Amino acid sequence: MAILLAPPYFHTPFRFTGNGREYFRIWIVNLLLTILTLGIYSAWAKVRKQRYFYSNTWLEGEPFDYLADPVKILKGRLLALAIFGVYILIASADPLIGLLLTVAALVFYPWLFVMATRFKWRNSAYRNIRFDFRGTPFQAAAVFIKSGLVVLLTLGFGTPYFEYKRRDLVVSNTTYGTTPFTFSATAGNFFGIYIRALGLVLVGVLIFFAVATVAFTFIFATSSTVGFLLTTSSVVAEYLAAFLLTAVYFAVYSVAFVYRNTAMANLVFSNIANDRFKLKSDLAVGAMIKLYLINGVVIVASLGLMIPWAAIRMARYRIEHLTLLHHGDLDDFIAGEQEQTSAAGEEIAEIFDFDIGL
Amino acid sequence: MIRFEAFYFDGKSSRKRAAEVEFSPPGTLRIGGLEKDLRYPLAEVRFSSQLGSTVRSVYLPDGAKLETTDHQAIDAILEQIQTGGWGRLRHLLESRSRFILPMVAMTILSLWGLIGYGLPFLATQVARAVPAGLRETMGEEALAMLDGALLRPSDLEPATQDSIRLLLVPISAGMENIYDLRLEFRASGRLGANALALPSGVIVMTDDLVRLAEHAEDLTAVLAHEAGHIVQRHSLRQLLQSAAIVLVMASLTGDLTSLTSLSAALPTLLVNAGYSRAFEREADEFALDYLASQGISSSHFAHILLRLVAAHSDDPEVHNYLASHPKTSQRIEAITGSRPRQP
Repeated sequence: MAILLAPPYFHTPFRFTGNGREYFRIWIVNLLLTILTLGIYSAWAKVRKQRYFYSNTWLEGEPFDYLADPVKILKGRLLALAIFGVYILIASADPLIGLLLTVAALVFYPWLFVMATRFKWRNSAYRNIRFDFRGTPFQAAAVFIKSGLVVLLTLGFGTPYFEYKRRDLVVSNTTYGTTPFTFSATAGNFFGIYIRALGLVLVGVLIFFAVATVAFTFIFATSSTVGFLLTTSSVVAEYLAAFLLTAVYFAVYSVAFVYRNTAMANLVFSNIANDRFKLKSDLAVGAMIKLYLINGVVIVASLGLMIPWAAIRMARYRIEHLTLLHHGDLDDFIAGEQEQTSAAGEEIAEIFDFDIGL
Repeated sequence: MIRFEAFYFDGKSSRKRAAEVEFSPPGTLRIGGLEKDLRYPLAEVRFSSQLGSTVRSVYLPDGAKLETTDHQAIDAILEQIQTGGWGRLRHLLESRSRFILPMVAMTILSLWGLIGYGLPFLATQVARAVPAGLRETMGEEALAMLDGALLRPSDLEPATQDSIRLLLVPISAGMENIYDLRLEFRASGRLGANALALPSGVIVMTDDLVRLAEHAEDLTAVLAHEAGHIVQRHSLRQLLQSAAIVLVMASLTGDLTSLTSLSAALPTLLVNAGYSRAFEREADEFALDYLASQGISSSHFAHILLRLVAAHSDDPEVHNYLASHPKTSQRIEAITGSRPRQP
């Protein structure tokens, strides 16, 4: 792994100053105005939400800034909605043509991916210098076709390679002003994460069987010894066993899932570097599981009203575990040339739930 | 004269400089404290709206930017040029604790209005605009799919089929927008005694349902109910409403990550089941109106419903918020105007 940044360097942690109470009020106003305007305000709501998170993320005494124009987002959303509506109607009239359309949409995926990433990056700024994404749709298509074929030919086992190539495409084509980023992670690192996640699942399956054995032994023991209570007790025991097994099953997959996401975030962010600076992310899997768990319970118990509180907690943890390693002051990054892009790519990608960005 | 302190970023490099900003009416912004003073006409300057306690940005026409926390000064400038009123009102709503409860109440109320009345109304309008050709294709596709998976050709005598088809003629004739109602007979083990309405105007009736009926009027009631689904374009509306509900839920829970967004699935199911029950009630009402217009007693409708319930007694009938049909006893109550005796 190439370490481009020569020591000595400073460690500057990212800071997050958003708070749940304040964001709740912004969120509820966003929601109300979005409903009252039948969705038109959603473009402004998106900008306010993004601005809130960006402006509360600080590095070396300066916040980030989100610059997207709500009118452009609204236009993108209307276009995306029209495409979505036509797709729904066609797919319900003829599922086969619907399926063909989905396949045809794959052809546009590289274009959508590039447009969406570019829009997001160009509207992100720090110290009035914008980020940029310089990848082209052809470049993206080449990456997706090549790594997509690897996934197909390996029957899915090549997925870590695909994940690696996708991040490499994004990071290696990202610039802050004129300063390019480089991505120093390897495909091997991604395979390592997937193998460990798989290992977690295997351990979980072992626990699963252990619990199952104990549970069924218990049922057997109770039903043979307790004479006339036989039926009632074994029914109770069966329910208990079924509940336990489901709980273990859910826990195993959740843990493996959170592990994969956390390790991947650490890997990706810690390998973003160049000769001027380097990032470091040190999220802990245990803390992430706790965050997801508490957030999930609180959101459901509050019927969704605590969503803003949960979003702030998650953002704070992720951002405050990010550090910038750099050589002294951050004053002399130079702005790059760029023109503005449309929001269509991002909005279409969002409505069809495509995975974009890092 | 309004003065405030700010950080200045020229937009060419990431350098941060402290600056003194002065606004002198009628409309010039002067930035001092740099190598040389800068002047901008206010009309070309864009101020970001206040958002919580985050810093305020002032975007200058040459790509430079000022950052300040002096919201008072910015608001005073905006007030002088008589803009930013909406931004101030919004910030008031977003920042005062005493607005929280009214905002939450209004959000819940308007969400209820949107889901209960707004979306159904819009879906009805859109469903009316869908051309007949598209409805035709959707119905044909649905029938072909059902024929492949659930239905077999009917075992009924052609004479029986024809006599039941005659029952549909007056229903079809009485409808304001002439629909091409068509009745198809199919056998189906899995559906049992059942009838379905497709958007193309096709009603599918199972052999078991025909056998279940004791009088022709029983079948008339079922046909009128299914015709109600077709006339009121329920399948299209269900499709549109459930697509819209997905969008609404997505925008409500947009802050969630994949692990917790599962919790958005249950509300979506609940709302869709609620829509489905509303459609059933509408179709029941349509059938009752038709029966009344023909001088047929509504008791036939209640009768066939009860027999249907009895025929399906082996199925686990879900009577809760996830059920697609209202409770049969409630339907019969609505039909006969009184509570049914237990069959």
